[in-house]
Amino acid sequence: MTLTVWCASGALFLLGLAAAVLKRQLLAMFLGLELMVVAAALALGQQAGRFGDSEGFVAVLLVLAVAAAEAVVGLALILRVHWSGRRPETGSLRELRG
Amino acid sequence: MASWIVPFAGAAAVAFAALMLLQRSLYAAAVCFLAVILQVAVLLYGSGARLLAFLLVLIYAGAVAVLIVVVIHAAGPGGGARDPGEGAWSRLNLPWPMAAAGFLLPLAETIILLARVGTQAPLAPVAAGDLVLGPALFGPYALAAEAVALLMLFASLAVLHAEDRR
Repeated sequence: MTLTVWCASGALFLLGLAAAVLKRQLLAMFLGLELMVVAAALALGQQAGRFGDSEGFVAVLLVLAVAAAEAVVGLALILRVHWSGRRPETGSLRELRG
Repeated sequence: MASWIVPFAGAAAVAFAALMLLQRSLYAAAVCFLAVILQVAVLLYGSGARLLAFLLVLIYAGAVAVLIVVVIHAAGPGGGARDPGEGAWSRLNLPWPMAAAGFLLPLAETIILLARVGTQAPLAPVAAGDLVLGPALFGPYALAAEAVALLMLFASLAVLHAEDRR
């Protein structure tokens, strides 16, 4: 069962990486990043559950909370890019401005 | 009998993730992402991390996925994309049996796992970590938990600031 979960976790991470690298749209890239976070949380959570390790549980919980905060900020930025009249794609974002 | 649940959930999660990668409609990709999250929750439950499975569904399916759908609809149809195929943001270009399977399969797997409780040996040893998670969070890791809570507060304040500058 451990090997199954590890294989699934690795495949999910690679698919998320592919989405983050290959997709042009910001929201599709964001979905890929979230998939990578979930894949890492799955591997860590499975090991924590296997050994009954509370520190592993705490680490996964904190990772999920940070990922939720990241999602809030990321989605707000994507929406702001859309409202600013630019295309929500990587090609339209070439410079930073304060 | 139910030992096939974990490999099945893993295969289904990878299949829906691949489907998400191939979608041109972002709404359909978000539905596939939600299906992946539910399958990962089944994987965690089957691995003995029951509380984490519950929290994953609570945070991702209950908050993040809803936010994604809200952003897709707030951006409107097209979403400003150059390619009209990719711009089909708000269209669910997914066969309805597949969309239904994304929600019904995790539900059926969870029911089978729950029916197993009390009748057969669990797939994974009872997670003692579930019992000590609360004391750990409010004990040695209280500072980290507070820091993450503060980070979430700052994130929401940053969103309000961005909205004010609009």
